[in-house]
Amino acid sequence: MTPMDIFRCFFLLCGAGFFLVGTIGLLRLPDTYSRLHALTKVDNLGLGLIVIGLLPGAGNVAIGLKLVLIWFFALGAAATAGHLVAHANYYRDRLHGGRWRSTEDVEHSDP
Amino acid sequence: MEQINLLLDGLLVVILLVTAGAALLSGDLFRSVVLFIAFGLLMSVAWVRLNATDLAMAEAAIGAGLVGALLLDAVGQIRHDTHARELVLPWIAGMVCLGVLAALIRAVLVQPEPSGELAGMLAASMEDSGVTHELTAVLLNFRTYDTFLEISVLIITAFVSLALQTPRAEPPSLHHVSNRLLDALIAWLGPFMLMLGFYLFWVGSKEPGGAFQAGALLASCGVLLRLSGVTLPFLRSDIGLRLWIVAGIFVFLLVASSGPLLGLPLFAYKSGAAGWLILTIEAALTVSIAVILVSLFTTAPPDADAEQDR
Repeated sequence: MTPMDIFRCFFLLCGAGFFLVGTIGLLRLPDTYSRLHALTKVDNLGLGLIVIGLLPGAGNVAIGLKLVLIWFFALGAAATAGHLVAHANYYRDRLHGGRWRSTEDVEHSDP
Repeated sequence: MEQINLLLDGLLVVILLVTAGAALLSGDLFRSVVLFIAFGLLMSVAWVRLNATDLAMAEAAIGAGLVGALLLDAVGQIRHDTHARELVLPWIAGMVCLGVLAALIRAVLVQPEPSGELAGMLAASMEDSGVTHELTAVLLNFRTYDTFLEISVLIITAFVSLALQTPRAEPPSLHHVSNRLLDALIAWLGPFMLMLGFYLFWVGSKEPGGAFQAGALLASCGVLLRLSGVTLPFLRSDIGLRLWIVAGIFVFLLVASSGPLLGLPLFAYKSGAAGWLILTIEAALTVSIAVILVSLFTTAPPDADAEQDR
């Protein structure tokens, strides 16, 4: 195990760990808005760490730059998608009485 | 190392089966569609593990992306969740699927000995093919007829969806989302997507890529533009849309019939020009596939007043 291998393993495992935490957050957090935090922030940080772990193994600089570019695109897409989901959820909540309610309330009271 | 590979592949198979089962057995249609999209992505990973990168790209773009968007659109238009399920049809479908599964398992386990000649013949003919990527050479030079049939199937799909299109007011799910962040994202990413589509088409001659993948990427770009309210004018006019749809197969036929004009069989290329002819066919196919896939998504023009112009 060269130091470079240890470096890569460390970052890949950290990235996977962040994804795990993000998924636990998605499953266990009470409502859509807090789940969006878990999905966008935690998952994208995990992706960034995985990209850092993959960078030393890239063949040349071009492939490394492409990996970083993929991470940037994922960031942008996740940010926009999170905003759209939050918007849609906000307007749906307003249709149901105009106040913020957690998912347990919505699931128990919707027909 | 072999055991780890086996473990990961086995895990992938298990996850695929679990996702597929969950998608089929879920009571909520929306959840089923989301699980289907996840299944498409996992299938794409499976293709990469099988060393079929072109298939992985096509699966991710079309299977997970576009079909997922189409299904989400359909789910949005269903007013109520139909829990009344038929009793007989699922069992018949299940039996047929089990039969196909058994046949596939037998086909994989009882393979005849591969005669190494085919790989040798392929390697020997690569120089005349005009490209350096084996898959592109097979798809667009040695077995062009199969690709021709594929694009014909796509065109039939497009015309069927056009025939089923009913003139009605815009369904709510196709109303565009007016969101400044989405507009900004499209303003920044739109050119990137176009460039990436062109790159996928161009690089298909020496790396995984090609017409289908580029067309699917451009179609997703079109769907994104459509969802954010950008009207695509060439999709609204009747004649224009149909011309774009058949452009691919038209160019394909033109190039294919250039063979008989020179005394070669149909679908044969003039020697030395194969690379350029393949590029021409792929360019036309890319555009056609993109327009076909976007037209599957657009069942009505964005503005209601366009209906009265017909």
